[in-house]
Amino acid sequence: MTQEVWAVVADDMNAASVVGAALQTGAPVRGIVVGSRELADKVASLGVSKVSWFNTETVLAESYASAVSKLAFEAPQALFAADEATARVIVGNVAANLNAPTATLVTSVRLSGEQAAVEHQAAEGAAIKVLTAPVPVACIIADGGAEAEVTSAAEVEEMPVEASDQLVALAVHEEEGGGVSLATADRVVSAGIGVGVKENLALVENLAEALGAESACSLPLCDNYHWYEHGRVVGSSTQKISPRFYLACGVSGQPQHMMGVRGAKTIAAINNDPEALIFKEAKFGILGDLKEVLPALTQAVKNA
Amino acid sequence: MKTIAAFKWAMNPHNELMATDGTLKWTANRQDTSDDDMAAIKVAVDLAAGDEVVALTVDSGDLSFAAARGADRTVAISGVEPSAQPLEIAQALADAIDELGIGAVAIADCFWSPMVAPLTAGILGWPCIMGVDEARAEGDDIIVTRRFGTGTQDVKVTGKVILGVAARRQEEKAPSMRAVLQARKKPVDKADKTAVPVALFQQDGVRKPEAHVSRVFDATEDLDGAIEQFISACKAEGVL
Repeated sequence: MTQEVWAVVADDMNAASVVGAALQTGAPVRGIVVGSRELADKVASLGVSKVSWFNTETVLAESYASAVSKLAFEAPQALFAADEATARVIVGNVAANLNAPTATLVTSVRLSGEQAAVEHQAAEGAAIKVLTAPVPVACIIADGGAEAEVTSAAEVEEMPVEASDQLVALAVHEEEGGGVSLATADRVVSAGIGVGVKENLALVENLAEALGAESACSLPLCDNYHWYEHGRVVGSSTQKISPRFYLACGVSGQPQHMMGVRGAKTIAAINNDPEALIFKEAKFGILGDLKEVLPALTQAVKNA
Repeated sequence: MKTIAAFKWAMNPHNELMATDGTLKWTANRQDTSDDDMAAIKVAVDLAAGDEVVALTVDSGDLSFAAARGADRTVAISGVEPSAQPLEIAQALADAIDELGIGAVAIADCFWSPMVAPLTAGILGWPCIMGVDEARAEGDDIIVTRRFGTGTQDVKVTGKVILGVAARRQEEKAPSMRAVLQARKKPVDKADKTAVPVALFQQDGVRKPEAHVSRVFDATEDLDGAIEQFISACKAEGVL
């Protein structure tokens, strides 16, 4: 078995955090990139020892699952990936073939000889469970971990195309209603059920405008109240976002919603309930009535 | 096209609590159904388009859940403990799927246990697509619509496949009481998957996470002061 660990990356958004988690083991990290050359180059610059690149220009990324598994005859000690659809397919295939125990919501991994100690979130984040197993192990990392920093670029080796031809991409349909802007937004202000009545949405929108932020919402405001289009919903069953600043207004902080925003660099909240779950995850926030806080904060932002 | 809908194979993490003595306890020690299960059943039923739909679940709780939503019969797997690890669940599902000999399988792409569908595909050696919204047959192929970036993508699948289905919302129309009662009359077969050895983690301890320090500024007492502190915090974070 080699001493290296693998960082399996299939999307740009999670590249630095996946590599960051792998680097924390102290073992040499090989980037397994299933994506564009640009993504391979990005991963190569994050402190990895080399990158094995599977080019998806003409091949559906999931088609490479078996090819990556074949590469695993070199037996990495651990696999790291984000909770992202394509990366999970690749890691699932490799882990099944290596008979590697698989953990999700992983916050850290320590390797000692042939043994791995994996810490992962349990009880919806209220506890950290310590798991051990002989290597290899497969780890889907929790959001919000340390990110790898850019350093000198490693070698990128393009792997031969040995992709399955069972999957063929036909067409892509872009969704209307805000998805694109949310995915790339630097700042996002969201509304939750705590806004109370529809008229109060204007207060949230005014603050978003003052901050130069995109607007988002929790699922009930779309599904139950139809105040927002589906493309504005963030959460585990909708879309995950990773803005530099996420400000939640009247959002309680249920796990399904928080799973969509934990990629944000800074989470802040405004809520009138001091026991709201969102305050347990926010870096800072304001306790108070939205109708009073939002206009005052909007004005203060304009003056700042 | 015959299809399989796998449902109710994971525990709901909402039922796991940290007790005051520092141990973890499950308030409900059983597998539960999720919104993603319902979506997976719908995809399997739609894809079958009138052909047989076999529901696959663990042998506990409501076995007629998928039958009430259109499945023709149910196979209940025994030997899978509620606390089973993803690889154990996947191995049991893969064995049962292999025995059924049906090549189109819809499984929940569920945040409760997001690796079960990919692991099941890996064990079977089948391709896998996650984030699936819907699927339809086109001749012998399957046209799958899955989430892709901020939109969707259509993918043509030739041959066997595992479809990880993610719900976009709660079930819009629950089955009628009549459908539920009729479902209880549909056949349920048992499959024992007890002796399936896979690599497992051992639990070596539990601890509380590092305390998260959240600075909350109280505007109920001093609105202007809270706003001022919030703005300062934003500036210190470099987000304003």
